Amino acid sequence: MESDASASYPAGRRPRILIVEDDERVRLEVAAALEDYGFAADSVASGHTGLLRALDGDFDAVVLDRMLPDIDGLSILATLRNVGKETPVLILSALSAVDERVRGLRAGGDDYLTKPFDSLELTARLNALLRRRSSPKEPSAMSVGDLVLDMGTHQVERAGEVIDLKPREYQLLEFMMRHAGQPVTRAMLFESVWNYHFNAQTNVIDMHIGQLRRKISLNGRLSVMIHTVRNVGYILHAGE
Amino acid sequence: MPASKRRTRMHLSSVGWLLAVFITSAIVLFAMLYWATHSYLVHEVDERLLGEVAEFHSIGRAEAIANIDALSRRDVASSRPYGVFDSDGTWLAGNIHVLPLAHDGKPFNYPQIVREGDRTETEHFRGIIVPTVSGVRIVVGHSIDEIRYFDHTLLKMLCVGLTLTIILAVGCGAALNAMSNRRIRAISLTGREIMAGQLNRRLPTRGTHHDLDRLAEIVNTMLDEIERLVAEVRGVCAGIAHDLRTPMTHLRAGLERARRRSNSVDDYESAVDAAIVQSDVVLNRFTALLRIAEIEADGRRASFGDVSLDTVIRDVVDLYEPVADDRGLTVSVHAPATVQVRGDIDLLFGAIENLLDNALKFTPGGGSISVETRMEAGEPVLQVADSGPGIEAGEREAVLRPFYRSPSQQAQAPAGHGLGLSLVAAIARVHDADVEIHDNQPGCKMVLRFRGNVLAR
Repeated sequence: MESDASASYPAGRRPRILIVEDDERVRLEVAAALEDYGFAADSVASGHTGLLRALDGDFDAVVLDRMLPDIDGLSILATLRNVGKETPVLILSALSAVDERVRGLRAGGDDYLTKPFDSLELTARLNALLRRRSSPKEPSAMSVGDLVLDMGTHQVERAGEVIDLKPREYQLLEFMMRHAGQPVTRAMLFESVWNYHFNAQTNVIDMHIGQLRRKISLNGRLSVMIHTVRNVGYILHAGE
Repeated sequence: MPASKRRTRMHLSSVGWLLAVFITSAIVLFAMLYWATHSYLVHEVDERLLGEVAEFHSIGRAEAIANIDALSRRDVASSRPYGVFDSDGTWLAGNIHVLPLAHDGKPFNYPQIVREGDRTETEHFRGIIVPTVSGVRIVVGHSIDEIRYFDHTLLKMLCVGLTLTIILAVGCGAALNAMSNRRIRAISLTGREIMAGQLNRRLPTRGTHHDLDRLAEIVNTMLDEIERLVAEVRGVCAGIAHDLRTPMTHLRAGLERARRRSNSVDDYESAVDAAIVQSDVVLNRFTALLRIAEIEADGRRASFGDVSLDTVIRDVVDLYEPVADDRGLTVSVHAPATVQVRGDIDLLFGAIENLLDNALKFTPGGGSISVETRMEAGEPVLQVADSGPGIEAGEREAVLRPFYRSPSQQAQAPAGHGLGLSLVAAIARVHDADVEIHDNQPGCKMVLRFRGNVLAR
């Protein structure tokens, strides 16, 4: 699991993440979590240096605090986008009201996480952001091992056998295949598949995944592809 | 207490102001009364004098001397004197012996010393000088001693009256002041008791429509609400403490057991994982609490938009389908038409989710749940009904409070944070919706009625 991040990058190259956060404890915690999960973290404490570093440096993603003492996080984001920097930005904020989230995303943010957050949730979301950027063009079909998903016909096959999925199950599988090899959290699944931003009861997602997992393994005849990652969520991979 | 002293002084001065205005207006009134009476009497005399002036104006010299001489010998001559003077001021006839210094044709006052026996007296007259065509000047007088005497008496009466009025006013003012001071003291005493923690005390009222009474009633209503809120907050605090103690105890026990028994890294790993699960339980409860506080802070209206309740219902039911299947329950949706409300789609999703989650939790296997939305009397209505045990009539209000656990359902209640329905209530409040709990015979029927949330608005 520790090598999740580097999986999609050339050997020896770890994705560089810039952390802009004024609270020292949060900054150190985020940096430590990112280092643990295979990222190269670079952290600054003020919005001013953060903006300069983000403009100069070649970062793969930025973790940006919404409230900074000198410059507002959203202004930094707007400045970056205005000069054409398309580095993915994940906004951290203590404000969880929906309109705050909407405002953050509208200003050019790619994802939004409210404090206090789980470091696993943060790294899973960063991975998703990096993956989204590294595969910009939409393929017409995806495959993981012997599992094939055709986005044109919405058909799913495992080892040549067609699997009958409900629309939600199809969406869940599509999201998981898009992030194959990376852990995805329940919150990420809920937000992307149901498109609501409300902490759903996690056991409900578990039940959907349970059914999907059973169908994908063809009722246990083939190997299980969806695995539970303890304390995080799920991961889909072809391995035995 | 300096603050209360300042307040008393301000109060005194307001009564003082009232007194000053009242006394000033009494003085003005009395002065005007005096002036009006006095000038009426003088005016009467002047009328008479001017009348005689008209008579004498065209009189000849000899006729004037004869007339005045005759007039000055009458009985009333002492109070109505006359005099005739030559053009150079020499006395010719009558009982006025000196020509007073005054303008012709205008009434004036003059004194005259009168000898009566062995004492002299100054009498006061009002007179007028009439120049006649023949050149002599006639002076007509009229005693005003009676008027002066009347004036004097009137002035005395008015002064006595004014003094009585002032004494009465000051007395009443002082009494009023003392009375309201006493009431304010009583109120501040009760206020201090309430501040000291006796929240069940109420400000004293006398059941009248007196200003202070009405004010006290308003404050008392406020205190009822505050007492209710404080009781609720106490309940919530106790609820939090009670609810968090259980997972924290488990957490501690698990860690302690790991410390005692674990030999291998694997043992420690599983102990840490168990601890993470327990701390997640605690964190989830805090998140739910914070979420209620955040919703109640009322800042979310900015994210309001038009929401189709029927779509949200279908999404929630779709999400919960596996749970219902797992528990052997059937969930049906009745949403024949689009029902739109103005609101926050995520919050509404949360409310419906919690209602459905509750219904799924408390309905025994084989039961059925229906989720409906419709327009009722122009108001959007959302309803989640189940065939479970229902909620006792007496508990219907209490279940909306945070951490309330029905005693009758304690035994069968599965793990939950006890905040679901208070979250629903908070979301309903933000959307101007009423939460109604009815009997579904059997079961429970939860209704959200979006009054005042009509789209036309």
